[in-house]
Amino acid sequence: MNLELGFELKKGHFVLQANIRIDWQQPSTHVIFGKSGIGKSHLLRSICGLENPNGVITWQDDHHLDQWLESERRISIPCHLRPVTMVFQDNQLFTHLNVEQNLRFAFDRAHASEQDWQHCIEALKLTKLLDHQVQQLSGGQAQRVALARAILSKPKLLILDEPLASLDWQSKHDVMRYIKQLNHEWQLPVLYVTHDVNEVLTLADQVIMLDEQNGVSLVHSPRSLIDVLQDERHPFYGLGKSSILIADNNQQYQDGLYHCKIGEQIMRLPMNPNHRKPSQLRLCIAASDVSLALSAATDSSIVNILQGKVSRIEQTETGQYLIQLKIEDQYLLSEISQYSFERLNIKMWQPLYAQIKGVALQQAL
Amino acid sequence: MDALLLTLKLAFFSTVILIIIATPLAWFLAHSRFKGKFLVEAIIALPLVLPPTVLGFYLLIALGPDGPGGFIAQLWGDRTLAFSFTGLLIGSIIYSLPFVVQPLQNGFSLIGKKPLEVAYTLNASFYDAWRTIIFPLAKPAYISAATLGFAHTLGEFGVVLMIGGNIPGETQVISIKIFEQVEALQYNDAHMLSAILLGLSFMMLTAIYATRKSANKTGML
Repeated sequence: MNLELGFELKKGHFVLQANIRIDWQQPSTHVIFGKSGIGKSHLLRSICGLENPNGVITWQDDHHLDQWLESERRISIPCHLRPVTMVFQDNQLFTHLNVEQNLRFAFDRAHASEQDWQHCIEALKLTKLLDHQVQQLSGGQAQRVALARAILSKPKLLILDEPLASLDWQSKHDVMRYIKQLNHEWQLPVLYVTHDVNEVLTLADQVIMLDEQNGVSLVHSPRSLIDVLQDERHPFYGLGKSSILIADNNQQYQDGLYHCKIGEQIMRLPMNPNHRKPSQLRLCIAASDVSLALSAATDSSIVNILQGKVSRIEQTETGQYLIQLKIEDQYLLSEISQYSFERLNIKMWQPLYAQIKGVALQQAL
Repeated sequence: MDALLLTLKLAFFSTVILIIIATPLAWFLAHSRFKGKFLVEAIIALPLVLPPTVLGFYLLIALGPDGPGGFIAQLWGDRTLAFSFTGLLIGSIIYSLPFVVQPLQNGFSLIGKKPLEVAYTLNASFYDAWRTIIFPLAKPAYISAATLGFAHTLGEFGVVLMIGGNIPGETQVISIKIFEQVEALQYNDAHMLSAILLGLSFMMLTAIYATRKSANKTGML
């Protein structure tokens, strides 16, 4: 399956250019990643047929080739005839219909079978919610219903536009579980849009970058995304104020914690002993979870302390300081207050200890 | 009785035609980014501030033998559209237009474009999406618009007097009849007709406010 985009969309002063071919070897998830306001929504709306850009959009799967847009030949398949469905950030359920009627709306227009219906209701655990009004649903439940509605419309391509952005932490995890199933359970290729680095790392099989200079053009593996995020020349540097460390797992288990190595330094991580033990781990660490000290504290509850040298100092818009530490050959970001910055008297290439309060995410490589 | 029936007939047909005209107009005003939109809005709102006699005067000229109305009337052999039911209907539609467009415009603004677009992505065509999503969502707005349009047409006086004259069974509506009865000091008859009009208007406004409240509760408005 592949989606080929070659178009230009003008909206007042805003111009979006897309020249890219997105390939799905098997149903997998591609993440479109970029800052807010860069035109991600316009890109999606153009693919769906809600905007009418100038150029070409082609969808090809095993059986045939669909020309969704070809401006020169005045072809533009209207939105309701394109086999794409989109899930929006704010679920967008129809408020005058209850949960079941919302699902039926998609089901009735998609020639889906009764089995599809049953399968979907059970897999997304919606049986008990069917007779609810949509106003009664929590954010997470509503997004689950929106996901089910999209699945029931039997698209060939499913687009998710920041589906977790307006959810609280607990619901995020809940909904994320179901999003992960989309590829396998429903054989759906997914285009997922986000500006959250953690979501990219959790879901992405491939990353498509959107930035001011290049428009939509770059395709990366999540592995190379890490390099991009740590390259200070790149516009995404420091995005989401997180850093990523690659740790070698030396399979040592002690006091309920696993020992991993960053170069010669050791990190101890909580891990379920029954899980697969990969040889390398990707750790995503929020800058706000890293505090700095002049000496390695031994009287603290913090388990992970890494030694490094200050390689970059930057003041953020909020007056905080973002300090980059070079640890072995990797980089770690720490966000501290101006008060702390002055109290520690931080200078370039000064040795410091980074105390890591928590690891937001670990992912096997 | 003739006057009452004629008034109801006029109000009914005006409302039906107004709803048909106002739907696309209100959608355009609610969602278009067209720069000259304010001009369209101002023109539609004119009957709100213009003295009915001024509006009636221009309409009289437009509908008369030398205006476009006269030209249309010639198609079926009449000399003029003024002083006819058709002329009255045209006048009422223009006069009540803002009362129908504005509630619809507010309703459409509140609903936004999103539900329509979501329906498209779920494979619903334009007509399908309007029938199953927008009309049901905008029901309270339509009830408001229809009631206001109907009630406002019932109460019009100045415009009708200017373009309709006072032909019993043809253009003599209830408000004009009341005026005539008062002039002739037939207070009993005037009392009866006025009471009917008062009751009707009150009932319709009650209906509007009742639907507005229930619409608020279900979160539709």
